[in-house]
Amino acid sequence: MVRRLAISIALALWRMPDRALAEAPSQSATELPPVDVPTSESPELPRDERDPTALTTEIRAKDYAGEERSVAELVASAPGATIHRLGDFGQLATVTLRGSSADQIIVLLDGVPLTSAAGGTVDLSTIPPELIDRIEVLRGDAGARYGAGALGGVINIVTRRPSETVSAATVGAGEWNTEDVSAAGALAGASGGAALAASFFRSDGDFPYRWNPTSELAGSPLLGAVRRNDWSDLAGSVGSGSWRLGRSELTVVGEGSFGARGLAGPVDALTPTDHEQFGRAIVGARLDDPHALGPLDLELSAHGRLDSLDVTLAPEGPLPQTDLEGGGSASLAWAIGPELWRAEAGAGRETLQAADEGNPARNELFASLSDEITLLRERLLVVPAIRWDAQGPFEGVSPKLGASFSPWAPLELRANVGESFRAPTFGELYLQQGLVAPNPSLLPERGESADLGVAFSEGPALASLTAFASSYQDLIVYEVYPPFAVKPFNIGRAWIEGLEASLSVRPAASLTLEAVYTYLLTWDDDPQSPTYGYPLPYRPPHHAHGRAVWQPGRFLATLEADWATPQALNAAGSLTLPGHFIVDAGAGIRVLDRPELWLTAEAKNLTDDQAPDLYGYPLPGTSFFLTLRGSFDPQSNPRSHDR
Amino acid sequence: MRRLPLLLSLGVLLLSTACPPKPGAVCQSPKTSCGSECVDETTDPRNCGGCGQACASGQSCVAGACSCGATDVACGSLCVDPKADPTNCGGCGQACLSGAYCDGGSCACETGASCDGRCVDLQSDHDNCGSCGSPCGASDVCFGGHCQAACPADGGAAGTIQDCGGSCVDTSSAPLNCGGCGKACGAGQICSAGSCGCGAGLGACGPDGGCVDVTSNPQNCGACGSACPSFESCSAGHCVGGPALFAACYHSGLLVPLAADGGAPLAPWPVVAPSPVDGGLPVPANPISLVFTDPKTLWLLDSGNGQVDVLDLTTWPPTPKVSIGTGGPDYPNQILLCGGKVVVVVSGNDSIETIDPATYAVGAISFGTPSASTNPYLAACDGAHTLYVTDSSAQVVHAVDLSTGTVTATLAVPDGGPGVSPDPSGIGVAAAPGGPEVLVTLEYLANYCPSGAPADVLVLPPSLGSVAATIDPGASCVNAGFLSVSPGGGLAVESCGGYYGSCTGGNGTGTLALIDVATGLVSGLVTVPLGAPSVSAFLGDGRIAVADSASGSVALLEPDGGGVSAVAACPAGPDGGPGEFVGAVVAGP
Repeated sequence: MVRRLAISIALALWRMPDRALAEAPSQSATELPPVDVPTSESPELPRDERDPTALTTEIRAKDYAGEERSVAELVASAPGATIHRLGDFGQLATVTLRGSSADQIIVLLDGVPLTSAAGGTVDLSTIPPELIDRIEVLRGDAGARYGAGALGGVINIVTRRPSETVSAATVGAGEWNTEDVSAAGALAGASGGAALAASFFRSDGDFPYRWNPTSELAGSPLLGAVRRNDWSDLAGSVGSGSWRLGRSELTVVGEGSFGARGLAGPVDALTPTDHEQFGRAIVGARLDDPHALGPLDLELSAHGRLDSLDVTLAPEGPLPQTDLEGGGSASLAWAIGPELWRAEAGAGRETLQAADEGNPARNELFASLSDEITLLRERLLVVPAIRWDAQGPFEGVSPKLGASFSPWAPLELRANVGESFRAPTFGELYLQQGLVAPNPSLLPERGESADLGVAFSEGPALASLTAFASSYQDLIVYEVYPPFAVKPFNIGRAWIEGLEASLSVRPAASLTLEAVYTYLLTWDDDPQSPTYGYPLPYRPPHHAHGRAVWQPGRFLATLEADWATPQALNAAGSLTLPGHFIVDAGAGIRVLDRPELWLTAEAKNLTDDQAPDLYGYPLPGTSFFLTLRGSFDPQSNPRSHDR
Repeated sequence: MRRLPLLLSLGVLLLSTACPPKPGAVCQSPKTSCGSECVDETTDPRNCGGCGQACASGQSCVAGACSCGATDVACGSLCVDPKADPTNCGGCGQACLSGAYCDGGSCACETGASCDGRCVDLQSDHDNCGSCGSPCGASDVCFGGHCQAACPADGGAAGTIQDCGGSCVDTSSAPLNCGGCGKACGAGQICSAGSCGCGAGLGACGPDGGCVDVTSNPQNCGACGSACPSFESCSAGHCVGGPALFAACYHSGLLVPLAADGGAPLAPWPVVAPSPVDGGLPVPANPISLVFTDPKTLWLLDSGNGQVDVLDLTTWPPTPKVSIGTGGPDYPNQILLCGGKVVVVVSGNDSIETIDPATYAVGAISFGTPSASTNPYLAACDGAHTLYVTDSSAQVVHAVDLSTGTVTATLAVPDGGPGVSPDPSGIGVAAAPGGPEVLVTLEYLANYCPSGAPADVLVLPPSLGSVAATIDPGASCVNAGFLSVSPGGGLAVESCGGYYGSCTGGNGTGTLALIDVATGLVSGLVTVPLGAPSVSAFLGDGRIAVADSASGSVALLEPDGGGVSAVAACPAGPDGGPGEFVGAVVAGP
């Protein structure tokens, strides 16, 4: 059996959430007005640095307050997103966007990239969900704004900020000895404020499942079993503060998490003793100084991250890894008439302490230039951008051109075309672990993409439809290398196209209905491949997600469904992963008004769909949870916005 | 004047090319599409010169036309030997008369005499009594080569002499009056005991029961209907001239026939089988193991797609007959024959799959339980119905009675010591002077690379009661795995994978340990020019073929370890890149 790759360590560069554009005092006679986004209610501008023409979805954590939701489940409600899980309740979960691979997504936590040179995929389950304020899902090539590695898109997880933090506490419990506790508080002063949140989660994960040991026999029976060594413990905290220093503003954020979990293995190759421990610490600071240099707004930022992972796999024993990464950047922004120029440059370094990879390190540099041009009385926004990245010995340029056009208020069109690359990870280049062999001669993956979307917003309704297409070359694919070993090679070519649709309506003040749908058409685009023209594995052709929330006064009811069609498990499509249809329902009541106290009960997977994910890893069937949440500020109605 | 914006989009990109072709309908030249399959109409006997234009059994497709072998010609839908076929003697449609056979392209009389172009028996023919042109009188008969008044009243010694138009004929043996006057046998037939039939070396295989030389006819080789593969000929009633071995390439799915000298008598053919998914595209195979159930039926284990592909080798390229799933998403390891069944070791599914080769009915024997960690790895048959299986996760060896489908014995392998995981892998059943033995490769897995894991070969009794002996192949044998035993059971070959891949920065050299079963000693350690020797097979001439799991080569060597050579069997991977390797080898039938 192929051993798991090491995962989850930092990228080179970090940028703090961008608040300069919204709050910088204008001193120019031709100040650039903010972009008017058609919506039924004015959303908050995201704090990170967003591409205003990119197709983005924002998922607010408070819309799911009182519900047992992992970060992966939150992201799964965005169009274009596909989640793969090795179990539930704290087990490995990764995300892809628009049919990309998990390595082609940059995941940011408060602007700090979690995607790292060490390789593997970002494990969303290690992020404490209670500390999250919102998740921004940006689909499509984002290399020009976020750097190499964002071929499929960017997921920006934003934690709570002082101005957005309510003093609250949550206690929840449910099946498989699942428990979670979280608390948050904020302090505000004349010149700034600080917020702190902490959470703890644990679960035994010992759910029953069904398994067929002789599936080659038609009609052979399923055996009942209980998942063992599937436990997880996760604790985390986040603190942030911002202070005004004269005309400047200093923002500091710190996040720490640690945890441990058992690694149960697939049902036909159980690993009763495998386990891992992980920890992460992030600190970042940003200084915004508008008009520091005359008309130029200056932003300085710096960050550091430490990730540790200690995997114990029988019979090898502990395999510790420590990744240390740090960097900084400087950004200048200036408005010239209808244009907003931004130039940025930065540097960083990342080192990995891992015996089975030879302790690699690499320096990273980048420089970018972008222009946001407002035309036609602010109805047309054109954003050309270009970025140069050097990651160790690999370098490249990522250009992009985006535009958004709003002929009249309810309607907006967006289009983007771009190109970028992904440098090979340390793991792909150097990892020699068990039967996984490295390939130091790998080249970067390359990709081009384009999309065109239209959004209509009128009153409480918001609808959008997007078409996209991507072409990838030199994809790094792990091939069977001697029997029962694997090695990566640049042999993949792929073509991906599809549609994303979303709809959000509020037929009544207390009722919100949301639905998203993604259609993917993918195929192997390498004429030399024996599977040329075959669909790519792990890309379900159809995926839909729907949610209904009814909150008449002090009562709350939710209903959520997720549906996906079967997907191929191998290049020839001869092995398939079953589709799934999962329904969750919840009900709550506000038992106290001051402080506000909610009691919520939730039933997950009402259809008891136990379709496995990823190589026979089972997922739990129907389960029940109870949550008690108290806060000193009133809750707003749940809503999510699509841009 | 309004300042124009300066666009920064240097090199605004165009998406690469126009939209690619739709999936599933494209064939690469020189192949063309026939239904859902890509075929070469110049060589495919099923679509020779056009879709659906199948050649007859025994014919091959050459340059888009059906053709017979070197010594045969096509007569209608049959391939015949005009030098021996009595119904096409010397050419199509030139049938020898009753009583005649075809000798070197000319008809020869059974009786040895021909008068006026007609086979006659000079001992009884009225008009040629004793010699051609010597008739008897109108009222006389010819008997024993002399004219006389009448035939023996008692019918002669055997009572079978009859007067047939003035000829005293032994109706028990006369081909023109077989069993009675006027009852003529067919072309090429003989009369025996009063019945018509084909003589020695002939079979009534032709149209209307005509006799065919079954010692040389490739479509009826040794028996009527027993066709040789199109790439073989018929000699002395046996199909000969076929490949000495077949190698299978894992990534490209190529099936590569190889001659005894390492040459390539036939073009490699990519195995493509129907998808096990309804409406799915044809499946390019990832072969990992091969076995013949009869000389013309090759079973290929497709590890990447979790299925068994049954190939009809009557023609080349072979014809896929059926594909049978192994219950996957996990990779099956090995296919072999045991107890009259085809057995598949499905490690990912913790089971042994059994398939009836005649009906393709599937059975299964499970080793796994929800609480256990098992991994059936490789297996060997005792020649009857007991299958021995190594389990690398449970670290045991099982004996499985295939007739009952039950595990009859289990032996835990010896502990390797602290921090060492004993990993049983290769297995074979050998014939020692004292009786059969089960040989098991036991790899002490602590550090696969760079130092390599040492190994022993355990000698176990068939009962798996205990470890009878341990054979140490030596320090040069590292990363050992596959083990094979000669057909006579006296020689075992242990494949020592050596250092490959990144362990030494490139391909290393592997070693074979040759074990004399009778003495239990290592009779030789052979260095082979392979990166990582894996599965091996004994050829019909006694030599050993060894697959390389780190390249596309096959090594050939004598049983004493001499005469080592390497043959390139599998091409390099796409884009000149990776890891194509020989997934399996099997001796030709």
